[in-house]
Amino acid sequence: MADAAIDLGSLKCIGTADCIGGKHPDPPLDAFPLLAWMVSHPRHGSKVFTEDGAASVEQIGLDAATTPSYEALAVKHGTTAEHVRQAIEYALAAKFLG
Amino acid sequence: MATNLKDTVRATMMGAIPTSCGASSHLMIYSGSAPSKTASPTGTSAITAGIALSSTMGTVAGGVLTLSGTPLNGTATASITPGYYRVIDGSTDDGTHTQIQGSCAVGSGDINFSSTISSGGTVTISSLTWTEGDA
Repeated sequence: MADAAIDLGSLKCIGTADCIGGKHPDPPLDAFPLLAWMVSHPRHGSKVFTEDGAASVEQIGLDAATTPSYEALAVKHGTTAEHVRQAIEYALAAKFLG
Repeated sequence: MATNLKDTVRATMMGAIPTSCGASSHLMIYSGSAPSKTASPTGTSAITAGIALSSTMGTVAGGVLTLSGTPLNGTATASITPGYYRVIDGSTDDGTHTQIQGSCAVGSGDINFSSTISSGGTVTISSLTWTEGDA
């Protein structure tokens, strides 16, 4: 910081929130923060998909059979390897794979 | 030595936020990591239209801006784990209307959610404050 500059500090934010009721897929997404679901996604319908909207768990699960690499699947679907990993883990938990 | 500001100056600074937000601001909640505040939002929106804020979105006292009208509710349109929030002026979030951006999470974050968000559920913002750094 320059001699004449001053640091006014950072804005501090404190909030609380919750969500009551609603629907969730089975199994729920609590352990999969990089996945999302909505009743009718414009691209993926009612399927569970990566939260960045790149691909559905179903698409990634199907492609995992022929492309056994998180990184390669991530490139193919335009998402990250971590999103792919969670999608495959979800597919296994839902018994879509395995 | 810390640099301190007169309380009225701090109040003026924080009071500029509701003015900048205007009369039809919204709170948006998204999954994933926050992009640059000037970029279009990434991730999935918990509530497509966002939560409409009061015409004066907050009140200032002692360098603290407190969200008005709490608890504020909205119906979730997706099941997500909250990752970040934005307060935008108007209702279009394309990165050019971001007034405030911060983190959300379950059990932590600037906005601390008690649980993940389920589609069709009622999302409630119970309280929300922003404190100027010199407070």
